[in-house]
Amino acid sequence: MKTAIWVRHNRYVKTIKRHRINWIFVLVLSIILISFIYLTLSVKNIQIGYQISEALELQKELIETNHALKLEWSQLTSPRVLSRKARVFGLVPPQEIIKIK
Amino acid sequence: MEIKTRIILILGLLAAIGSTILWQAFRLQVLNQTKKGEVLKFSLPPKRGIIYDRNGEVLAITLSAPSVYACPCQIEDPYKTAIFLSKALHLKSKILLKRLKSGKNFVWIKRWVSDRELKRIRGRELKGIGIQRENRRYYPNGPLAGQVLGFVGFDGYGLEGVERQFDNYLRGRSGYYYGIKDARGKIIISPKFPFRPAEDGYNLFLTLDHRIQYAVEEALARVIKKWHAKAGYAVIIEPHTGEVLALANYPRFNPNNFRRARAKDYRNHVITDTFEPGSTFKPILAAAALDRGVLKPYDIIYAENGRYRIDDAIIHDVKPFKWLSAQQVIVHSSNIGAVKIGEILGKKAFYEYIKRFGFGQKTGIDLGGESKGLLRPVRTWKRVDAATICFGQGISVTALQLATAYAAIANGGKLIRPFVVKRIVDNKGKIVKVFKPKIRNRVISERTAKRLREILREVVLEGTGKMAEIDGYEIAGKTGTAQKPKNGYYQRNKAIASFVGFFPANNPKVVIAIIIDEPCPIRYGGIVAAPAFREVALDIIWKWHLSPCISPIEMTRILQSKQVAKKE
Repeated sequence: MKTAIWVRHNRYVKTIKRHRINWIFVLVLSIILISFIYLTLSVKNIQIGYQISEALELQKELIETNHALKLEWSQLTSPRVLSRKARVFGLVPPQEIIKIK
Repeated sequence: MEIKTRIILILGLLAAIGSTILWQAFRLQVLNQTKKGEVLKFSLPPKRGIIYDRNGEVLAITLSAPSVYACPCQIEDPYKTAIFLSKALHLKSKILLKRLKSGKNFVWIKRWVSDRELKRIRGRELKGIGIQRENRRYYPNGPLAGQVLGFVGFDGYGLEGVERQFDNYLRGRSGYYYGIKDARGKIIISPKFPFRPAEDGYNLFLTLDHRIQYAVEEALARVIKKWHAKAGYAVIIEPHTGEVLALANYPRFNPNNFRRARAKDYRNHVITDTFEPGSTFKPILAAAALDRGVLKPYDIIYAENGRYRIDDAIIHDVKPFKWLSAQQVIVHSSNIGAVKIGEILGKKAFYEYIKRFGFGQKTGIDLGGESKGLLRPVRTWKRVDAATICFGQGISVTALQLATAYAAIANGGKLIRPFVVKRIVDNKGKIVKVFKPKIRNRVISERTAKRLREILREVVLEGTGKMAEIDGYEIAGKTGTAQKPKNGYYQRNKAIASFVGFFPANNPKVVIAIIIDEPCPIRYGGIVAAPAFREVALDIIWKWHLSPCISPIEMTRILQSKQVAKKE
C-alpha cells in the first residue's frame, strides 16, 4: 500500500510503502496454531492415558503378586503343613524331662 | 500453463489436503469426543481386606481367579461347545447346553476355575467363550477356624462368621475411571474425566492364635475319633480380657469349599448350640452359696447315701455318699449334695446368680447368630426343676457362656465380654479401630472367686478331674456329664461330656472349655474331656513357654518319682 506525504503548501514530498495487517490471515494462522497446540496436548493426553492405564495395571499386578506371596508363605508355614513334614522326618514332641549333660 | 499458475494450483491442492486433515483431526479430537458413547466408565473393584490372627499370620486373603463366561448369541455350534466345555470344566453337558442355547448376551459357565481347567480352555479358541478374572477369597490354613472366619460369596459379600459380621470394614469401596478403548482393546484413561481409585478393605487382626487353634482342633479330632463321638466344641478365653484365643468346632468346615457345605457344617456351634451343662454348672451354685454367705466350704451336708426323693422324682449320685463338706460336694460331683446346697440357698437367690453369671443372655461376642441359651423364669420352677438345675440339668447354655462364667471365677469375679476381633487396620497400617476388653458386671466377690478356685483345684487333685492334671501347673476345673434329653425324657446312653477349667489356679492365664457330644462307650467328662483339656493345656504351655508354679527342684522330684512309679 502506498501513502503519499504532503507538506508545505500542499507540495508533494515523497511516497512511502505501508503494510496493512491481513486479519483473516492472522485468524487462520492462529486457528492453525491453536489446533496444533490442541492436537499436541491431545496426543500427550493420550500418551499419559496409556501411561496411567499401564501404571494401574502394574499396581494391580504388584498387589496381586504381594497377595499371592503372602498366601504361599502362610500355606507353607501353616501348622498343618509343618506337622505333616515333621511327621515325615520322624520328629516327636519333646519329653517332660530333658536331661542336660 | 504458466509456472505461476502451476505453483498456485499445487499450493492450493496442498492447502486443501492440509485443511482436510486438520478438519478430520478437529472432528475426531474435539467434536466426537464430546459424544457420550465414546468415553466408557470402567469400575475398579477393591481388594477385600486380609484377616490375620493375633500374631499377624494370614487367615484369609483375596486373590484374583479366572472365571469362564459365554456370550450365547455369538456361539456358532452350541452342541460342540457344550461337549468340549463339559469335559474341560467337569460340568454336566445338558445344563451347559441349556445355558448356551439361552440366546442371552452373557452367562457364567464356571466361576473360579483351576489352573488346569484354565489351560484346557486356553488351549482351544472358542468363539463366544471368554475368561474374566474375579476376586476370590482364599483361606490358606484350610479348615482352621473355618466356622469363625465364615466365607465370602461369589459377589464378594461376607456370608458367615467374621467375614459377614465385619463385611462393611472388609469389603472396601470400588473406584471408577473413564477411558476409551483403542483398536487393540487397550484402555486409554482420560485424565479429563473424574477418576476415583478403589479403596481396599480394612485388614482385621483377630484375637485367635492360629497355633493354639490348630492344637485345639487336632486334640478335639483325636478325642472324637477315640470315643466315637458325634461332635465336639472347644473354646479358649483369656480370662482377664475376654480375648478368644481359640474357638473350635468338630466336624470341621473348609471355607475354601463353601459351595459343597450345608448350613450345619458352617454354623459356629460354640455360640449357636445349647446343651445342658451337667456338673460343670455346680461351681455356679457353689459361687452363689459362698457369695451369699449361706454356706462355708467346710459346712457338712448329708448326701443321703446316693438316693434322694423330691416329689415324684428320685435323684441319684454316681457313687453313694453319706456326709460331705460343701467343698467335697463339688470335688466328688455329688448331685444330691448340690440339691441340698440349692435348698439352703433358695431358688430366687440361685436364679439371680445364674443371671449374674450371664446365663440366659447373650455374651455379646462380636459374631453373629449367638444363642441366649434357655433359662426359664424362676416363677415357673417347680421343686424338681430347682433341684435339677443345681446339677446342671433343666437349663441350656452355650459353650461360650460356660467358658465366660468360668472366666469370671478365674479373674476374681468379673464377667467379661468375649471378643474375636482385636483391631481394624487400613492397608497402610494405620489403626482404624481397637476393641478393648469390656467388663459387663461384677458377679461375685474376689474372696469368693479365690475360694472357688481352690475348690476347683481340689477337683483336679482329688476329685473327678484327675486326668486333666499337669505337674507343676496347678490345673483347676470341673468335669461334667449331662444326659441328653429327647421327647421330654433323658436318654441313658447319650450324654455330653465336658471339662471346663483354667490354669494356673492362683493366677489363671487361660480358660479352656471342652465339650464332647455323645462319646461312646464311656461318657464321663473326667475320662473323655479332661485328657483333651490336658493335651490343649500342654500345648499352650509349650507355645507360650510358661514356667511351672513350683520350684525346678520340686518339679524334678515329682517327675522323677512318677517315672520310677511307671517303671515299677
